[in-house]
Amino acid sequence: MLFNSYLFLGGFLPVALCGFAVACRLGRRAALLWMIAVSGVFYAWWAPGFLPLLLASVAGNYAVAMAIGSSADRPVRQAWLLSGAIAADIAVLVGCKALAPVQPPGLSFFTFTQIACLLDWQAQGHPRRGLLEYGVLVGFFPHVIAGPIPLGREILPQLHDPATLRLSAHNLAIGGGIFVIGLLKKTLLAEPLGDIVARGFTAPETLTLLPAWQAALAWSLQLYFDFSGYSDMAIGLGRMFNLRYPVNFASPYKAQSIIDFWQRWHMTLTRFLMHRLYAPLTVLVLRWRRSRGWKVDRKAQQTIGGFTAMLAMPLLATMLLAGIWHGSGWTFLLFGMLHWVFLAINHAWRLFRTGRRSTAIPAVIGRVGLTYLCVLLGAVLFRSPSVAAAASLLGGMAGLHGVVLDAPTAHALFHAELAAAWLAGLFAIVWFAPNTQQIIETSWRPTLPWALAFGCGATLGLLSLGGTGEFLYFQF
Amino acid sequence: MMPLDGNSTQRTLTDVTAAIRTVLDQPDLDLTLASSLEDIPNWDSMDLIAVVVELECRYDILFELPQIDSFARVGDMVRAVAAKCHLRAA
Amino acid sequence: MGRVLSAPRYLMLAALAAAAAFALVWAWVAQMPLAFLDPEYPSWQAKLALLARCDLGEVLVLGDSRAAADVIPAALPVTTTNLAVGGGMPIEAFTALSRALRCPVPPRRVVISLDAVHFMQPDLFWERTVRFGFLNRADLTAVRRVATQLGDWPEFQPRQADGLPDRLRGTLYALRFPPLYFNSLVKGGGFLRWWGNTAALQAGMAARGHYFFGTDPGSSVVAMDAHLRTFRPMPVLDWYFDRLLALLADRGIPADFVSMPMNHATWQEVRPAFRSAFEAYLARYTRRYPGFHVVGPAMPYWPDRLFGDGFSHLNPEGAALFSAILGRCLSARMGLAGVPTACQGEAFLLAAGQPP
Repeated sequence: MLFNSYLFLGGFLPVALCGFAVACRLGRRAALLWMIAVSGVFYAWWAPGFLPLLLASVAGNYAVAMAIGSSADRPVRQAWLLSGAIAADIAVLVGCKALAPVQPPGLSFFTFTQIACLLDWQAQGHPRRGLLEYGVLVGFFPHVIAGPIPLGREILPQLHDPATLRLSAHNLAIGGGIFVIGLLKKTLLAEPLGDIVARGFTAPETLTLLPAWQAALAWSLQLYFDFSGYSDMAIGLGRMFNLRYPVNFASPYKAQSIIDFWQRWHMTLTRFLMHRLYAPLTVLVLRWRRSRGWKVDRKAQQTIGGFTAMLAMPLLATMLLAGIWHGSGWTFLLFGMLHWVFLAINHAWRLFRTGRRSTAIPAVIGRVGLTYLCVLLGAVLFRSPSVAAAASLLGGMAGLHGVVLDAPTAHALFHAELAAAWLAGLFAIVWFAPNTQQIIETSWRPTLPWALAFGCGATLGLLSLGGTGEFLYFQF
Repeated sequence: MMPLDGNSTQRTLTDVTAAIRTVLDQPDLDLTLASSLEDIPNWDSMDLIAVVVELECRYDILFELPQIDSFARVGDMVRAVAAKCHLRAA
Repeated sequence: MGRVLSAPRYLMLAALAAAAAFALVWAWVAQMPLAFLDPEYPSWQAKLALLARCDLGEVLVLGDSRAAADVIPAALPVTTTNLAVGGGMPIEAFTALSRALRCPVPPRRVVISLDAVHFMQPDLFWERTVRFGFLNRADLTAVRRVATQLGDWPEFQPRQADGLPDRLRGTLYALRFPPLYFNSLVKGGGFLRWWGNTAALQAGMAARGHYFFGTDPGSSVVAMDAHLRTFRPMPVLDWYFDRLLALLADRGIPADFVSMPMNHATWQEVRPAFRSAFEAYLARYTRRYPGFHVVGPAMPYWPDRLFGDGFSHLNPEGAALFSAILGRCLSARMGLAGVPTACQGEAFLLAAGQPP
């Protein structure tokens, strides 16, 4: 069930919270079991056939983790256990992506969570015991379907803290507020753009200059608010149960470089890929170079061979994986490669740049604008059903399908102006408004005005479950 | 990590500083144990890895990735180098 | 920015604010639908108002949006009320007739016009018929019961899945549950449609239920009739059509089925076998109910210039022409100038590009 649905908001969530409150009074085990039980119901609602897969994955990885812990004096056995578990996890992931007609929901998320946990435990040498806590870490309903991807060391200490397993009005207030912001982003800002995006990307060859830009810009905003909204809802739900999940989204369109962008967009996935793929590959490459007596300093990085080996290659592997992780088509592969090119250029710029970056407003605007355009290019590829369709839309944006600036009727002109104003308003939010973390951490206080604001916001969120699209026979 | 004696600390700090200066090509860089790596001008994650690899080569040691991730100050690196060397000597 | 409250008190105040805001919106939605509902709503309300007043005249027109647009009561020789509605199926036609027959004076004649597609699948059942309150809860319960018995109820889903159970959705519409009307609240700016809708309501009543859809000076857009492969009436819709005709027969009220024209562009694409099957279906009912006749050809075409939109609704010029022809036909069949005679059904066929 979706977070923005009557069933979830009117049925599942109240029951889950009330049950949590009761279970907490019965003890730690009861509370954890309740969290696991409701998560099982939530996951089964999405895909009952895959619940055994989730349970088996959790049980299997936990068993390996305990075996790793009991092999502290046998590093070779530890290495085999770790490699075997990771290989099995990845085999299941790849196998399902390649062969399963229907994908298990959240498979890559709970797989990555467990791989990261295994690697951390193996490095520490002592996994933290507690199957129930581990089960909540991996499968708790707020994040199991689409992230954030938490680390064991972020969540497990919270679950072992008695204060977590006790319903807290303070956390309900904050979590509820974050959830309401996310819900409104999704239903009021993202979903109304769906029609115009779908129409544009279905028939890109029909789009002249302005409609092509409108479809692309609308898509970039729909994607932004949908993902941002979802991340807020997941984090807000976790907070209602006293769990602080890592931030996953930090105003990415305010980024002043592509490197900065990826540190603000899907932050937990970036973190996983950087720490588990990019960094190990880079360490391998540098060690290999050093073992042959080659340099690894900045000067070496500024040579073609050094840059290619130390920066470009590890980046390529990482971005190709990032691309195909999102989907198995050519567009996703090209999306990854495009961002690889952007990142490589960004890294090269940083290497050869002399002096400090200018903080003057025009320079900042220029960097933000350029970064956004690069992201927009990738986003068009990401959404298009094929490479040809993406090329067609980009061609439309370049004016290759013509430049039609007049509107056929006053009605059409009015609607076009309204649409442009709406997009401008959304961009104003994206570029100038504080993000959810900033609102909650610096502005929010438990005062009457905020209570009224969030109360009305919750009402607006509940109303918006009915959707904003209206079917009109008439040509109004 | 184990506590360091004064002389070995100074030597290790000198080596770490030299490695950072070499990697960044900034021979005038002045660092102490308390210096934050993020505050070094134009520092990024690649520099961290390059410095660590230089130190690994210098001392014939190997660091695990989670430990590399944990280095926030120059002092963290100095202590980690000392611990690895001590382990190897033991 | 205000005194810091304890968390429980903060939550309580937020909940109260949410409840109060929701209650206010609910009251507005329930009491002021004309202020925000989409512009077709007042036209439906006009028909319901005429029904409620039993101000129906001698002839009723029952059917779908083409009948609603194409038949102008003011152009007919007898007092006529047009109770045809957008997306109308036999269900809406039967419901309207049932209410009309509770009036002291029944109609003398009924004109029925339903496109073939409205015998085959629900169109805007939830988004119009239920949402606009055309069916009350008893009517809706009856539809669900019959459709369930006939195995058709799964076909009655709203255009956009909302996750609500059907029974609950029906009740929520009856209660004017605000989220179900949120899209119109937003598009209607909360209250900005009040003036237009009240004017449309008055106009609709003055026009005895008639309203136009598209008013373009011509349309060559191919309507959905062209995309239908096989005419296969849905059992529940056939059931209601049969009930409609049985009710008319029971009350001795003659009924004429008149097909509204489509544009030539659409007609060219309609499969001949489909048209034949639709004709045969109607012919079966003429044999079953002697008081029921099919007047004019099934699925005729008129020149594209007489249509106002891509759904093949006639524009004002086309509707005036059609109503004039229908008026002459009704005069003949009702013997308004003397003895009833047969209608010139061929009049409903226009020579390509030339009105008769």
